[in-house]
Amino acid sequence: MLKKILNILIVSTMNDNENIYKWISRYNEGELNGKEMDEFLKILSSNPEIRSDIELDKELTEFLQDKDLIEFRRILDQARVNRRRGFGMNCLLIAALLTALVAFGGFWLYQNPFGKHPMIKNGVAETLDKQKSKAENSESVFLRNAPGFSVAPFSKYNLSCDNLAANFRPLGYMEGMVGVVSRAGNFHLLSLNSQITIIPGDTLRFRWEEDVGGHLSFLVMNNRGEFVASRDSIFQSSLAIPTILWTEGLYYWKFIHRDNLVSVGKIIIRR
Amino acid sequence: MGPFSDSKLIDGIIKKRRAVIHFMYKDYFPLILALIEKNSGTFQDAEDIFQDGLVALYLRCRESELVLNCSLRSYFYSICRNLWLQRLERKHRLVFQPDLLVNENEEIYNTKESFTREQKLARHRVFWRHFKTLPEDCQNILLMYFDKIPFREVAEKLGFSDENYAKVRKYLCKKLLLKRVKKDPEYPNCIDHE
Repeated sequence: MLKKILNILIVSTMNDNENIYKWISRYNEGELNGKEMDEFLKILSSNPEIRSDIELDKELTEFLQDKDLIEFRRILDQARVNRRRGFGMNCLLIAALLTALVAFGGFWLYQNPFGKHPMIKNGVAETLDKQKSKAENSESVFLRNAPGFSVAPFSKYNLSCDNLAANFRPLGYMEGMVGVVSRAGNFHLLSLNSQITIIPGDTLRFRWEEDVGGHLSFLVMNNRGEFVASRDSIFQSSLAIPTILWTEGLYYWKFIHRDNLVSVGKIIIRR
Repeated sequence: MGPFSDSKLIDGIIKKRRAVIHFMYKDYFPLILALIEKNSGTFQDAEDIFQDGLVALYLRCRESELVLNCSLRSYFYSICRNLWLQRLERKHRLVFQPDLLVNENEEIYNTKESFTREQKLARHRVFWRHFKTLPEDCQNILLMYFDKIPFREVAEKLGFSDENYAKVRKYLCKKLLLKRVKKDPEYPNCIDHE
């Protein structure tokens, strides 16, 4: 009878969560005395759920006893954190680099907008801005209405008004070259007329069939041999140059394909 | 070939040399990440498997001399692949796809080595996860206790009033750790049901 009461007492004690931990811990650490051990084993046999707690406590004890492994895990964690930091730093560096590139690109574009060319002298460029934009607009309108002619997507003609022709006096060495046509790079102009006469504001138009792949340049000089306008890296198969800003006079033009002079002609602008 | 030969890496792992472990993280982790990500795992899974793989390698090296008949890289890859295979199986996730990233002959990792079993590693990872979040004095007292340092000395070192307080504190710390482990959602999944 006394034994039964004692058993009930132990069970009620064991059912108390607070004490279960203590008993399990003491059991695994070998701290239970003979009598306590007997009672605990009895309770264990009637309550198998405790067994999983015992296993957990036992394994946890085993884990805590392995000081070397715990130290090893600490080092692993540190390496993991360092690697993440390193990765984070790399991301930051890449982001900073990209930002700098975008900023630099933006600044460069601001400083060198499409169509602006070093041939334009600063003082003149400023006074010509309005006229030039008018010319570009007229070119666009004209070309939109002229099938077969496309506007170069990356550049407009570059014009230096300082160098416009002042009169019709021929330039000796250029006169001798007018009409020169070479077949360098198999490039040749269609409907070639080496002497073109237009009225101010007309548009110069050239066509060719070859794929020039950006290796074609077009230049216009005045009758003093000074460059007036140019277009580099031409990709398309036609070229339209508005002359709205050009003064009356004599000009010379030439096409250069892969550094070879392929065609030369002259333009007379006269009312 | 990195700055460490395989034998130096093994030696460094046994001696817990930080430089070696950092090197392994830098050099071996991308390989394991590719393996895990190719087989329905996440970056987090890859990190866990990589750490478990290193622990398994450490335990294996510590147990007895490791004689390799392939490169350490291949051996480590096999460890991680097997760990991931078992974890996939345990979690009933997608079927593992063989990966031929490593062209060298792989030594078959002995999956029967009980100590390096995936479930045990997973359980110990849960233990470690919660152990390191315990208050510092708790971590110290548990480590000192299981290092068989007498309570009187523990109390002195940790500035406790007496050894009885140290005993109570040790008991409470362990209980706290047990509670946290049992509450961990990953823990029930890694209990061996065999």
